Amino acid sequence: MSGVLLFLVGVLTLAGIYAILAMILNLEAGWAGMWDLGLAGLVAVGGYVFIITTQQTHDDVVIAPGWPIWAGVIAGSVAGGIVALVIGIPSLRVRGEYFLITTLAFAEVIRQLSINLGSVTRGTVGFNQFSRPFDSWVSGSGYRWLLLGLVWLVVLIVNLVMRRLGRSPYGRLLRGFRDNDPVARSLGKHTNKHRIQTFVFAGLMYGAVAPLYVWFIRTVTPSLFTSEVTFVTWTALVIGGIASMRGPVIGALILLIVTEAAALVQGLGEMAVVLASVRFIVLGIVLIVVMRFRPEGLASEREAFASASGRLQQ
Amino acid sequence: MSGPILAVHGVTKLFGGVAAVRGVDMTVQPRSISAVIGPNGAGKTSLFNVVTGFEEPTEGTVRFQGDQVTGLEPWQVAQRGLIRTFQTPTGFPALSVWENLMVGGSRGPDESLWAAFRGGWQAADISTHERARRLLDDLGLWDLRDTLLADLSPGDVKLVDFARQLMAQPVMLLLDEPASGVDPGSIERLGNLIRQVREQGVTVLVIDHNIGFVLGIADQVHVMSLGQVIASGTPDEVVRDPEVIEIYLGRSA
Repeated sequence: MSGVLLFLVGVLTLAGIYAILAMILNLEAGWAGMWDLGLAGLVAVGGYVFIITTQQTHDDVVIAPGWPIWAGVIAGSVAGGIVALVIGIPSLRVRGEYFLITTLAFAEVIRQLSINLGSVTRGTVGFNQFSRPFDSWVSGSGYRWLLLGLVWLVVLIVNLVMRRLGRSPYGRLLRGFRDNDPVARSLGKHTNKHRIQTFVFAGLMYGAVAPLYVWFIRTVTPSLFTSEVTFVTWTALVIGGIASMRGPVIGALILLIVTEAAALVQGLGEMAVVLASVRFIVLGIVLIVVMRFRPEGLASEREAFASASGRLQQ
Repeated sequence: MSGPILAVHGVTKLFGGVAAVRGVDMTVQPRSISAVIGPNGAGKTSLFNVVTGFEEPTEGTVRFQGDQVTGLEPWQVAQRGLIRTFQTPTGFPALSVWENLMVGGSRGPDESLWAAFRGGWQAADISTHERARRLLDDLGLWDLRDTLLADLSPGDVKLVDFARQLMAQPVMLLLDEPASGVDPGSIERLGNLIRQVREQGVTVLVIDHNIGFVLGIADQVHVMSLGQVIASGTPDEVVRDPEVIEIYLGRSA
């Protein structure tokens, strides 16, 4: 019984992590219209920079400053922002599909680098021993509850930040030029500056929350940051409602609970391989059903921003 | 400042080998309402695109308030107060009518990511809201304020386009077919509003197919055909110009 409970705690933690990623994706893709297919790469940058700067147990790597955890989180965030700036400046100049291709390619470059820069990243072996925040306070299974609380606290904070951004003149402008760049420019808006700022901010956020993912999985290897991370986040966002306010959290919860439920079928060792592939079938079915009956997603942009003029006078 | 507010000099725009605009010279006096008329394909919109920085001219220069604006980005031209509208009913479809106007009226510093975090944009938003409310009242659109632009009729979108661009407080407003698709009752209101805008000191340059509408509001008319300006003058002078009559009515038998 407690095994099932701990499993559920794990699912909810992972759902929270995907909710955070989906909220960041909602800002850059849903509102600003930048279809990022490389967010796994930005998460990888944050995760690797965090682990490289903070870990103290592996002494076979050339860079190991052994920083405290908070410094590692900041370093991961800054690295995510810098990388986003480097990708953003050339690829946002040409719009649309070029950004999509560039970000997708970038994520693969990061993954290959993490495999091949063995002296820094420990290659495919990766890192599996490192300290997590408040590790000494609670033991074993208690830490799962702590991480669950920490992840959902971050969900709450990111959600409040996104609410503030979405309902500001900044958010209004993003949702405007997303659909009509020439009109925005004809009003004197330097739309590319806003795009780059937004993408760099998304990079900072992905980098900053990457350690949560690392603490949950408890290892850092290249296989953690495959494009599956990107596509699960995208699916969660689309199911929940792209460009909406609550959609990313709703979508991540539903998607993760539904797909991970397959693993609840216990004690069927020979079924493990089948169940692993069932996850993707279920993911596809959920996506198709939502797109058929509610193409704007479970929560919609329309509802999220309804009667905006009335909100001002409050 | 004396002299023209807008001076187009020797502007040619080639697309491949085709000249959309050929050696156009045109000046616009401050606080006037001028019009560019001409058949489809005469180069009117291409001229607008060149003036507002959306297209780079193959040859020639554009001066606005004495400064050369050729080669500037569209947003840079717009920040100098030269604001245009577009021919197709357009704008920000996912935003409400009110939000469209608020984007038009908001200034750079209030729209930054940092301002969104820090707050402090609310005061500016409230005064922008007041301007938006008056303008929507004048256009009879206040009741539609929370309707998304995507749900509006093309004619109403045209009116919102005009209002949104006006919210950016232009020094000079370039209107690309503002009356097309607008219902007859609203056209009159639009015409009054354009005159009112001029009274407030804004220079207006308008393209339209609706000759009655254009001749009714313009002080100065330029007629374009095949990329060239073939006649310029007051509405009365232009309608008597034989070449203009030929283009619009065909040679009489």
